[in-house]
Amino acid sequence: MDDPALDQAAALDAAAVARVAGGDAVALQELYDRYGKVVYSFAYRLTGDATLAEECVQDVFVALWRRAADFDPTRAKLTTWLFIVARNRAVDLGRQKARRPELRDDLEPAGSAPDPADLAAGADEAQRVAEAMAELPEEQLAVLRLAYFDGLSHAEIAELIGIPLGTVKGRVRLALERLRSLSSHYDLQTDQ
Amino acid sequence: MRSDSDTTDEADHETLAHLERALPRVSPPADMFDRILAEIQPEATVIPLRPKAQRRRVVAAAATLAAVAAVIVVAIVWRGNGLGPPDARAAIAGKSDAAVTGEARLYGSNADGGTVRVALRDVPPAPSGHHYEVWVLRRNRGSQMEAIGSFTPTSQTVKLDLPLPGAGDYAALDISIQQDGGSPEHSNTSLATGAFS
Repeated sequence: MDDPALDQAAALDAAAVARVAGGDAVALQELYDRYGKVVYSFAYRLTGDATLAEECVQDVFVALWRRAADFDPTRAKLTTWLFIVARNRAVDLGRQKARRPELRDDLEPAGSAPDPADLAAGADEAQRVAEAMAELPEEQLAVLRLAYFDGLSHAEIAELIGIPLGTVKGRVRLALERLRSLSSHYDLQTDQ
Repeated sequence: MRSDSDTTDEADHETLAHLERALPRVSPPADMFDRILAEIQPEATVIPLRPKAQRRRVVAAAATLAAVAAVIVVAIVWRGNGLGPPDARAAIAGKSDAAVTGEARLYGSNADGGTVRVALRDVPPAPSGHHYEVWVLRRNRGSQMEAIGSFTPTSQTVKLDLPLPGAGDYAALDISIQQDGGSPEHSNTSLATGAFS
């Protein structure tokens, strides 16, 4: 990774994970505040179910808590780890739900079962986008979280976090530009 | 995403459209981290400060998970400096366990939103089926102690920032030993106590 901003974010993540390994739940909350919404959206995308997505997010961050001491930042980025764990857990939860006929009927009307290959491709794509978003510099990710996931206007974000409106607009623009610039790294397809 | 300007160019629209295809615009419930915290809290040495209403939800979830009734979970965090000079200090001395020592400091106690910072040393584990509760006494409230938070220590050193119940002239701080799921009133058994001056 050659991008200094990404290197810095990874270093901050590694420091937070080290604190988590020492039993610091404040550090876990910091990581949840940074990545929780993206992980939830990713889990929702894979499961199509809010309850399962919540269960998945809880399991991911509890797993991070329990396995933080084993995390090696020289071998993998935290964001990659998070989304791999989230994906595996979402798949497991989806399978468990599929084995419950009464719920499966609600989810998938007869004859509409999606192609497994399509599901896998969709999961791959969602994971690439989620990782790219999660690796935005914090100041950009913060405004993008509020704008994208919470639906706040730029003016509302400016008021909420106490920065000028122009700064909010600039950060959103930079976030979107950075997502595009990360496209080669994450193989983002923006021309679909 | 609602925009306040029409300056977003086509590339931004494309990027947003791509985001929407990959990641739904959904957010987890507000108490999501409380649920996570409830599951990990028994193993934590540092716990985030939670607003009182949220603390109660944490309590419920923790009690369910642990199959113990109404264990009051803590709002603990040791936030860095930056509170300014304290309004008053209290040296904490052990009562049921003489080894306990420490200090409590009041910040912003003359207005709503104040904090008491408590640092304790040589704190023994809470007796089985019990936890510690922090109480404060305001001079204009007679002898009525007010509970402001509780904890089950995971080490001998405990550091807490707890919200005060309101503006007041605080006289003392007490740490009681409470039975899990027991009466919400002070047990009359104190681990340690101190008077503000």
